[in-house]
Amino acid sequence: MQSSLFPNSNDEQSEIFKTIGVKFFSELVQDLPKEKLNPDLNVIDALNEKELSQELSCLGEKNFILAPNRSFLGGGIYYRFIPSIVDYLTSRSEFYTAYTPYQPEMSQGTLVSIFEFQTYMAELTGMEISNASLYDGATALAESIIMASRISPKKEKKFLIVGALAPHYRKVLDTYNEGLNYDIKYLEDDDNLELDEELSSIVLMYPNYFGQVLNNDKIINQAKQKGIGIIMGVPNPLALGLFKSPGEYGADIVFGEAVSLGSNPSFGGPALGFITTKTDFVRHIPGRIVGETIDKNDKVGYVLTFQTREQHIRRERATSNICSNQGLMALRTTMYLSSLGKEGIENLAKDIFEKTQILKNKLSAISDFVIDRNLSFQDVLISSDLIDFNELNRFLRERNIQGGIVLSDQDAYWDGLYLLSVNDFTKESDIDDLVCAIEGFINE
Amino acid sequence: MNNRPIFYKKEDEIKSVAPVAYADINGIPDELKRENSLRFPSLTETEVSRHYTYLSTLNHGVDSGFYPLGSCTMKYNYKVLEKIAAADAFQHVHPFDSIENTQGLLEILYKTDQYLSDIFGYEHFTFQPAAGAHGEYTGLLIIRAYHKDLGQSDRDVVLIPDSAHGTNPASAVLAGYRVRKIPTNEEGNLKLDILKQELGKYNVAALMLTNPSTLGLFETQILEIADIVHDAGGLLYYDGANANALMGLIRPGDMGFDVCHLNLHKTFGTPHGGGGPGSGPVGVKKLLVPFLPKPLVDFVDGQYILDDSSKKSIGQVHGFYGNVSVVIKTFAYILMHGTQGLKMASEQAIINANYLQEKLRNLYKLPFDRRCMHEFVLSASKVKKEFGISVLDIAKTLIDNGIHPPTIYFPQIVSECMMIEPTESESKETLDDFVEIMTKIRDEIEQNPDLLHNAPVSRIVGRLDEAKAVKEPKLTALN
Repeated sequence: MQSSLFPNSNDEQSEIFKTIGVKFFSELVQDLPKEKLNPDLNVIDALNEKELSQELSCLGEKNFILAPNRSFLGGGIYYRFIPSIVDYLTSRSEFYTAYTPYQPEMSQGTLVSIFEFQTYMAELTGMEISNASLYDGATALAESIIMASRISPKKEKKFLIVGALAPHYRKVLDTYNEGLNYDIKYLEDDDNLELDEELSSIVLMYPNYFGQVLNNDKIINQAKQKGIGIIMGVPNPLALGLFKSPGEYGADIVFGEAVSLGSNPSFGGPALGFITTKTDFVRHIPGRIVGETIDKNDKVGYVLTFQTREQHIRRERATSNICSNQGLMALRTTMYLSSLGKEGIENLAKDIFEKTQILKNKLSAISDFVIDRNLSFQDVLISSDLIDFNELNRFLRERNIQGGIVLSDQDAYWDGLYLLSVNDFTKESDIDDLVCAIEGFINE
Repeated sequence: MNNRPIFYKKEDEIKSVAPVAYADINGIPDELKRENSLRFPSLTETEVSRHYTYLSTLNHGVDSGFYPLGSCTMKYNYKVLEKIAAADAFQHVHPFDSIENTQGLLEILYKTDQYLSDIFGYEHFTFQPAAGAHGEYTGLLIIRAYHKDLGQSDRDVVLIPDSAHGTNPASAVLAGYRVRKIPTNEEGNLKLDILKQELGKYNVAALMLTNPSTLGLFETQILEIADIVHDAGGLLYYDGANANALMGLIRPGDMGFDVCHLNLHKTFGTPHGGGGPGSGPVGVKKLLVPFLPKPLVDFVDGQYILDDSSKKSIGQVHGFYGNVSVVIKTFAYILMHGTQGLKMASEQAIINANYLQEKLRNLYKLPFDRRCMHEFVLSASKVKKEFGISVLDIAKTLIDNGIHPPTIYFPQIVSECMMIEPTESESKETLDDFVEIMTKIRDEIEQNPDLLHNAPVSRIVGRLDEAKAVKEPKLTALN
């Protein structure tokens, strides 16, 4: 038995066997059907730590990534500068090797930090309460709609999603709807939209997938008059450091993606979904919630609360099936926001907004490009009938620049559309290089 | 120091927070500007470091001490896995980057699929599900799509044992099913006659089963159950929460399970992170491959690609490819152990559980007197009756002894139960210490019950008033 992976010596193992009263391991698994026991598996040879590190570092080298300042990819996942302290503190094993905080007296570290996360997310979105996280922004959209359907007094389960929604959000919602069977419709933005009174809720993305920050006052007023619930989606919560918050608009439910508050893109996962809402809706919110209480000596402490909503108690009548969420990601965001503070967030939001305007201004010099006239934050929508954006991206890549998202590949309705995004690392000279390279491509 | 949120420590500062900066910023109309100032504290790095370092000391992780939390597989998390997954070469990959630029990650996803498929007996795994419950839901949608494809959309019932994880029924309902409960018999197996009855009475889409069950017992009738369910046109779903008992020993695919999810954050040594990120990949037999979420990673003409072509696919269940960092750690964990090492891990987990069961069986009631797999269940119903000590009291006393309590009050079919899962990471010495503490606690139940009623006394807080947390909800520091 002796192996570097397992602690017992042969002598200890023999003693264990003696205590159990068996001679061989096989005596312990007599309940298993013999004909299926010990299948022949393809042999994988074990690697030691050095070999393992080398093997994985070779695989890492097969990903060709540029420095973030040379990348103009965004669309809801952004490169952010992360203060060193976030990685150091989340690496404390008391945090990352703990389970869900079922035993509160032994988990106050996790519980207090989730309570802080809830406070940060509620405050940022202008809402009263928050859950402790969901898988990602796309599943948070689906969970928001399920939540809204429970809150709405209306008989019909009708939802309308207005404006540019990320295709991956839509795909996930469509999948979830297989089991839900709601009436879900999608509509382009339209100033003169007339809302159907039977709608349970409308969903407004803010900023939307095209990086547009649109004034939602008109549609929200109309919805309120007709008793239609307001769900707002925030795929880039940094924007709320500058822009009117969903709470200030009067939203009922806010969902979003907070991976870009303190974490890396990491191929889209782990991400960090969240839902914030009004206190009145606490019993309908999916996922875990932490609350404050006291012990018998009146000492303040934190616990998982409103657990009767959850699957381990309510089983088939739970508000959601979610159990494990994205705890460590929520911890990262909490530490990130504690590191930046109010000023840090405001400054970063301003910096990104200004860079977005610089990108727009400089791109407008390109004669074949039509630049979005709406207010943009971080992402810039471009249209052109003449340019093959996939060709452009290949051309840019040869010049050490990662171009944007080719929207026409994602949705047939988005013909001739392209999305370029700035990030924390983008310098004005990177934008100049981009514009120069695009002009070079067009002239070729 | 105290367990106080940072917002309370900076209460005065937050009360007089400055107005929103950049009210005069060019290019944003007034009606789009934020009005209410962010009530965020302003901290120096020293303050941030002290605050969270202190909070971490209020936690208990696998590195802090024994963590026999049943069904959660709290094995040691190797540090090298953390280091590998944290590399920029993985962390800085943007999900919208091209397949040409992401070959390394696609190769890891592809190979991990191959490894898991071989170890558990499936054709392919998808990595999109972000946790176990998400995997259950995905698996059920696959089953739903399969029956629909056969023109059997009227199969609307999922059968679930009474010992199942709560996520099973919750996932089934989310997937649009009705749930029927199958009771457990005196040996800890499924009541076959009831199963047959339900299959005759309802249009059953699937039976969801954990094997070994949450009692830590192997379902001995499994091959027969598989035949019965398949004969009735249903499918068999494997809840992989307890898969740590199986590696190299037996494959769910060979037992007749058509769909299976795994919890990589349990069986494959990736950390739980205080509640995620986990990963709940779903594996399927060949007949169900067309229904898997798309895209699937494939290897064609010397290149890893994302295959989006399946028309029968249930679609996407995650924005991108799931919790990829967790899959990287799993891939490395498999390479680190090799096939032999994985089998040894499962064997050792079973050995350790049987050792503890043997040592503790006379202290508390052993409701099912059988060899256990990787975990087992004890009942404190007798001491509850005789001495008024609940399993909660025992759990809280374990906390004062530096041990994370087992899972308690679950499975619900055993009263006053504790579900103990030691894992393969633990030495005989740790197990013996645990036995000694459990023995001491058993003595104190009779001699010093107040000690148990008052526990824990060694942590920053004592037992917390959970009813108050609901009656007077205080869910953020500012509202």
